[in-house]
Amino acid sequence: MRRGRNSGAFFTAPILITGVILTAVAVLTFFAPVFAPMDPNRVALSESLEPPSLRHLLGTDQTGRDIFSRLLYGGRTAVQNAVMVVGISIAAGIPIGLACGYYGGLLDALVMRCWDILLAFPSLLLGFLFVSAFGRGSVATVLALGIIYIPMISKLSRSLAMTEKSKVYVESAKSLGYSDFRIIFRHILPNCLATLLAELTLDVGYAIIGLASLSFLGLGVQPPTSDWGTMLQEGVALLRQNPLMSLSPGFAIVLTVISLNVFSDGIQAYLDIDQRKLPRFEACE
Amino acid sequence: MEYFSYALRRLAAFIPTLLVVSAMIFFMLRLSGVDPISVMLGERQATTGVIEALRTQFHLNEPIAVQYLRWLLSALRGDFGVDYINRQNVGELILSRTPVTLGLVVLSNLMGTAAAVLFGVLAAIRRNTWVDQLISVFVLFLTAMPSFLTAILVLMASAKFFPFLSFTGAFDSFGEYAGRIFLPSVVLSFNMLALVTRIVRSGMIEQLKSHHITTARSKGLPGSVIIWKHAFRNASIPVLTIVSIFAGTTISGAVLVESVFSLPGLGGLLVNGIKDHNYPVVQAILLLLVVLFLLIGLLFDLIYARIDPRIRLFSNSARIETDLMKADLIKEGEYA
Repeated sequence: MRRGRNSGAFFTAPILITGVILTAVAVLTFFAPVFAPMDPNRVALSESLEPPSLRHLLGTDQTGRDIFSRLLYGGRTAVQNAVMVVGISIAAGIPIGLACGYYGGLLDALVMRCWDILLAFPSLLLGFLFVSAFGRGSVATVLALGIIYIPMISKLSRSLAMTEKSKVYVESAKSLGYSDFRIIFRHILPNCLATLLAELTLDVGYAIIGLASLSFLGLGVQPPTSDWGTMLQEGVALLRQNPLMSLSPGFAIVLTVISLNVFSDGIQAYLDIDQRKLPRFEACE
Repeated sequence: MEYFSYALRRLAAFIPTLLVVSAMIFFMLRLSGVDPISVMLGERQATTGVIEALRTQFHLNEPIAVQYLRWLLSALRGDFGVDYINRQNVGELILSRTPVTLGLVVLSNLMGTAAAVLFGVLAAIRRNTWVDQLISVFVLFLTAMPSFLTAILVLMASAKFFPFLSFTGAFDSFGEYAGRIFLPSVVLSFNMLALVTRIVRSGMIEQLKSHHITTARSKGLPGSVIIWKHAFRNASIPVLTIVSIFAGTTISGAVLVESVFSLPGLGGLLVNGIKDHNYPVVQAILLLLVVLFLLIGLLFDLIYARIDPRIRLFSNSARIETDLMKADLIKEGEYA
């Protein structure tokens, strides 16, 4: 069989495997109502703390709720919130960062000072501060983590814009009289997109862990809404009775985050010319 | 002299940061709109007279800016006021909880760095062999494991295999204290171990390829001297930066690990303070932890400048690269 010209360059084994896992996680959690065998909040005290069975694939928790269903619904909360966190940081961080890198000067100095202040906080502590200001719950934590991620992503896009702006294509775009807005978003941004994509994939993983940490401490998603972090926390007290209560969301988090890490490494390896695996040349007929 | 002026500049930059950070902590807590009086009274009823007395006692009738200055000035003298709920002295409360958190942070940083250096150097020497691959898989797992999950797994394993040992709860003697914080510190060090191993490995690979190593080899120096004195010394510089940035993550990670092991540290105090809107406790702990983080950063910057004179000479030219690197590294240390 002839290989396509680029096959093997991007679709390496790690990317394929993690891609499949990530798609599965995305589909299973997004369509949780379709795949979940029962209502995640259905209480059945007579079935509490059951071991895994055909009826309850991962057993039940202390109030007889089906852990498998809660896992899927909890994943929906966790993944959606993480994506929203990254969304907030993209919407604010990338434009600010690109503008800082492109214009430099006073704007750049001022914005970077602000980010230095935010980065003076160990990140989870800043999360605590935001949660105490805006109250507990998933909206506040998503907003908090979203804001916390802005400095990181805007520093990255700033550095990228700084390297890009001295390139010839920017000079020629300028000489054609294009507006700054057009140069930044139509010309510089697409050239930074690949690097940013690798970074943002990683960020989703970090956001999942960050949100789970806050939920675990009881500051994030509030019960009875199912969420991986909240489930972990509820399971800790009942570790001896049913370890699956906290192990299954834990496993889900680790699997998702490892896949995101490997996937992002794959993107980076593809972007880095030195590391890229080129397809084998085949003799032309 | 030059070093001295660098140190002074760094110290001077520390003061405005501290001011802004403390203001941010103070005012953001007040944003929540929860009235301290209702926190103090809880479910109890009170007459207007009592409420007025409380307002005067806690200076709540003063403008908020004055309240902030009052808090900052007394905090600088080491007086953090009285908490809203139990009327305990916040300073003493914090002092009694500090040993656990500080012990966790220090011990986990030391253990994590030491182990990471060993693993990283080993992976670099045995590059592309099964040893290297084993280490990199191990590192990948540790990167993706939130520390509270590792803590849960360790607790389960210890309950299964060492049921006679207890790792959780309060302690009475120093021996018990050391026993209590050892396991949580190991857990806490895992994330740092993962990150630093990667940095050490790539730094060592870079160094081992360079000309001065070839020279050292051709002189017939023994392998251990080449690795530790010639290669690792150069590779150790970025490691210092990362450890200093990552210290922040161990600080917030300590909060999580403490809560799994139910240790009497600052974390529980902080989280309960947030849930109860007990501002004096929350703002004092947040301020102290941020100061601890900043001091660690300062200390490492000074060591760093001592080792590598380029840092104090070209503080601006290398900014882009350091920013890129730092953004990357801070991200890596993002989760706890």
